[in-house]
Amino acid sequence: MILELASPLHQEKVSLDHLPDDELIRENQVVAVLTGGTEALFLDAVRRGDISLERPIILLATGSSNSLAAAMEILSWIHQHDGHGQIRCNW
Amino acid sequence: MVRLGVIGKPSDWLIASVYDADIIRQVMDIELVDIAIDEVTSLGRVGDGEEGALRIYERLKELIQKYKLSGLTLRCFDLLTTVHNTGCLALARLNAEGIPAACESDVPALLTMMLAKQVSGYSGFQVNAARIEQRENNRCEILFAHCTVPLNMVDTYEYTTHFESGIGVGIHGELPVGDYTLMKVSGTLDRIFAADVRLIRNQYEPNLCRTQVWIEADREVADYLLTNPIANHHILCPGHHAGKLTIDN
Repeated sequence: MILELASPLHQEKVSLDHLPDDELIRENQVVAVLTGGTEALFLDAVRRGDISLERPIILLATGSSNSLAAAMEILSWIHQHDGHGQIRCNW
Repeated sequence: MVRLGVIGKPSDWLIASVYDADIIRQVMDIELVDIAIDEVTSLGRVGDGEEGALRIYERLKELIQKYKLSGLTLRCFDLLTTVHNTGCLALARLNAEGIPAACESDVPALLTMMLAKQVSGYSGFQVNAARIEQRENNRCEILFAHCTVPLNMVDTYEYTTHFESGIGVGIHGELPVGDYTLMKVSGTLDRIFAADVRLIRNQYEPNLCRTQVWIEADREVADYLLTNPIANHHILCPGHHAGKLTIDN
C-alpha cells in the first residue's frame, strides 16, 4: 500500500505518474509525497500508527509542487528520530 | 553580539529544521531575537501588488531598526491571509542590501545565509530542491527553486505571483551561469554540508516556485539530498567556497 500525502494549499492537480514495482511496496513502507506542506500529515500518520519508524520508509517525490522539498524535510525528521529511509525520485 | 530576528515561529512544515539558541549564542556569537508575527500582520490588508509588498519591506526595515537586527527570518505564509500579500519582494531587497533574510522563519537557513555572506559576500539564494536527474560520469543535475531571490544575484528579474498562494509578489529571476556553492548548516551546529557546484541554466515552468535554476554537481550531492539531507532549505551562493566550510570539533 502507498500512503499518498497532498496539501490543500496546492490547488494544482497532483498524482503519481506511475507506480513503483510490487517488490518495493511489499518490502517497505512507501509514502508518496505529492506536494509541499505535507510534513504535518506525515507526522499524523506516524502518530496514528500508519507509519512505523521501526521499518524502512521510502519517500516517493515527484518533480513538481515542492514534493521533493517536503520529502527532504520528512526524511531529515525520520533520521532525527532514529528511523531509516530514503527518497526515490525516479523509481 | 550579532542579533538575528525570528519574526513568528518557524512554519509548521519545518518539522526537522530545529535549532538550539544556546549553542548558537555560544558558538556563533549570535543572539536570536523572537519577535511576534503581529508586528508585521498589524499592517492589515496592504493590497495585492508591488505597492503592498513594499509596505511589508518598510515594516521589516522598521523592525530591523527597532530590534537592532543584522538579519531576520520571517514566518511569511502567515502574511497570505492577514496582509494579503507575500514577503518575497521584501526579503529579496533586504538580501540585496546585505541583510540576510530567510523565509518561513527557518533559523538553520538564516544561519547558513550568515555563513554564505561571510565566505562569498552574498546572503545567498534560499532554495528548495525540486528535481534530481542522474548523469554519466558520476555527475547529476539538480533543479532548485524558490519565490524569492536576492536581487543582487540575478541578471534579470520580473515580478509575478507567489507559487503556492497565487497572490502577492513573487520573483522570477535569472541567475548568471557559473560557479556556486550549495550549503547548509544544522540548527544545532553539529552538521554542515557544502559542495562546489555549477549553475548551468535557468528555466521557468508552472507548478514550481518562480525562480528556477539547474545546477550540475558530483553525484555525491544527489546522494546526500536523497539519503541524509540537513532538512529542506539549502543556500546557493556565488563562487566555490566549500573548502572553507567545516565544523571544528
